[in-house]
Formats: sequence, structure tokens, C-alpha cells
Amino acid sequence: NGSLSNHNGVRRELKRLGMTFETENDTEVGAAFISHKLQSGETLGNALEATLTDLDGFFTFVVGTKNGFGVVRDPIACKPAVMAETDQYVAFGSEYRALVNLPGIETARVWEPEPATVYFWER
Amino acid sequence: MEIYDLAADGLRGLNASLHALKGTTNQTAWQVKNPKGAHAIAAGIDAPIDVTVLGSTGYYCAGMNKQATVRIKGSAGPGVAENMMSGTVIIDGDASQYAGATGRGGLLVIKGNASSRCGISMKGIEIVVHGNIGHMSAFMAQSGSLVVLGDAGEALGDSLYEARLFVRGSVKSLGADCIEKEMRPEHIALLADLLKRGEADHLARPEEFRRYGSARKLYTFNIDNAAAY
Repeated sequence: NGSLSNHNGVRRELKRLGMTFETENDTEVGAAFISHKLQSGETLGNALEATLTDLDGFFTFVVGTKNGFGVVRDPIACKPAVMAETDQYVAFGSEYRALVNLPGIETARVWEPEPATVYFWER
Repeated sequence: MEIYDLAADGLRGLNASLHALKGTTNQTAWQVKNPKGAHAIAAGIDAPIDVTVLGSTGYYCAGMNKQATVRIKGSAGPGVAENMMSGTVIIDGDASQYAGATGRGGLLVIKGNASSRCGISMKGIEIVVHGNIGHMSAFMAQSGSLVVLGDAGEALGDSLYEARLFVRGSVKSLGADCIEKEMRPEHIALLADLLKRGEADHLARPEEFRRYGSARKLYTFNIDNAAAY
């Protein structure tokens, strides 16, 4: 989710580049931005890095692809985010409570992703 | 010992029981099992009791605490001990954002790391963090003390009033009107006491810390200082 301030300009540019939109929603622009990067051949990591320079506002993006999973928070990172990692999985939630019933959560590494830092895993 | 199973009996039952304990009670020791990240656990207590939460909590654990000692055997979500008036909160793990926010009294001890905005708008609370603190900590902190054995993130003490900040590790950057200040004997003594009460006197000595405080040009604003920001 996000609260983007430059989403109108980014939407116009992405439309020009061939992306289509269903709504006026700013988070949809975030999703389209990342999708466009991936379609252009960027890695998931680089697509998420680009959000930090090209998107303005508060956001936490969680992206799943066919073989990957990535998370990025804006540089101010006021919005909550927590992650858990074991040998078996990596999990994301906006609060710890969402993760409590995961197997092995008691011994998982639980941390809050750092601001402006891309975390991604790929098979 | 009163043992409360949060998963079985619910949050409202727990907090209602804790709120029913008026100034004097002989039910002074409580354990809360299966917290599972629930919010507002042990918020609003006003009694000199001891509550141990056996796991990690959600938001606002021990919020508005008065007189009680609340121990969290795990990590705490955002806003732990927010607006605490008195008493003690001790977290064995990490604390999420705005720990101790707007706290007016009492002692908050975080044995792991604290996240961003630790001690924001503190109004008398004392906070001792054994690990690191995140960015924008002690933002607009009015009074009280913040002691950090580890490192501090960006914009420490932005728009600071008279709260005292002591950091042993590195400070990524200082916020508006926050400056390093001289450590004098009274600060060493204050810090020694805080480290002791914060269960950190075996981890650090007062002499290892630097003191940060307000330059007093922003909250006692003079137009001549406008360029400083």
C-alpha cells in the first residue's frame, strides 16, 4: 500500500509507455510501475530499487512473481512492516499478529525491514 | 500468582481484571500466556502490580501504565508504554516504532533494539535501550532521559526541548536544533543511575556516552536563527 504524491505524473508516463489502468488509485500506479520495470527485463531487486527514486510518498511494497518475493519501504518508513524468516519460508505482515500462527514462528528471525532497503528472494 | 491465558479468555477479560485492581490489592503478580501479538495488553493499569507477558505483543502494550511493572518476554509492537505515567516496562526483545511515545514518567527498558521514533515527544519518561534506536528518535522530546548503548539512526532529537539524550554508539545524523553537549559530573551521575535502573550497568559505563541536547534556537525562536534550519 502507499500514499503517493506523484502518482498522476507517473501514471501519465506509464500510459504513454503502454501500461493500462483500471482506477485513479495511487497504489495501482505503484503496482504498474513495478510491473513495467519487470516487463522491461529488470530484475525484481532493481524494480524495487527504482521505486525509491521515482516514486514520492509513503509506501510499503510487497511483490510476488513467479519465482520471487520482494519487499521495500520508503525512506521514512512510518507505515508498519514486519518480516519473519526460517529455513522454510519468508513471510511479510503489517503487524506481528498476522504471523503468529506460522509454523516455527517462535524461533523464526523476526525483524522490521529497514527504510529504503530492498529485500528480495528468488528461486 | 494469577495466570491468564489470553488465547483462551480474551483481551477484554484480562484488561478488565487488571483495571479492577485498585490501589491496594493482594493480587500483585500476574502472568499472561499466549499473547500472540495481541494489542493493548495490560494497557491502562493503575496499581502497583507485576505483570509478565510470556511472548511478543502487538501495539500499545502497557499503554498509559501507572505504578505497574510490566515485563515482556519477547518483542513489543508499536507504541509500547505509550503515555506511561509511572511504573516500569521491561522488554527482553526488540521494540517497534514510537516506543515510550509521549511518556510522562516511569522507566522503559528495551534490551534489544528500538525502532524509529523511540521516545517521540517524551514528557518525563526515562528510556534505556541496550541496542540501537531507529531514525527520528526523541523527536520533539520535551523532558526525561533517553539512554542508548548502541547506535542512533538519522535525525536524532529533531526539534528537541529539554530531554537529555545519551548515546554510546554512533549517531547517523542529528535533527534540527540538536547538538552534542558537554558531559559534566551531574550527567555522569544521572547516567550511572539510569544504567543501573535500566539493567545495563554491567554493559556500559557512563564515561563511554556522549550527551545530546537542544541548542535552544528553535523552541526559543529568534528570527535571526531562521537560516539555521
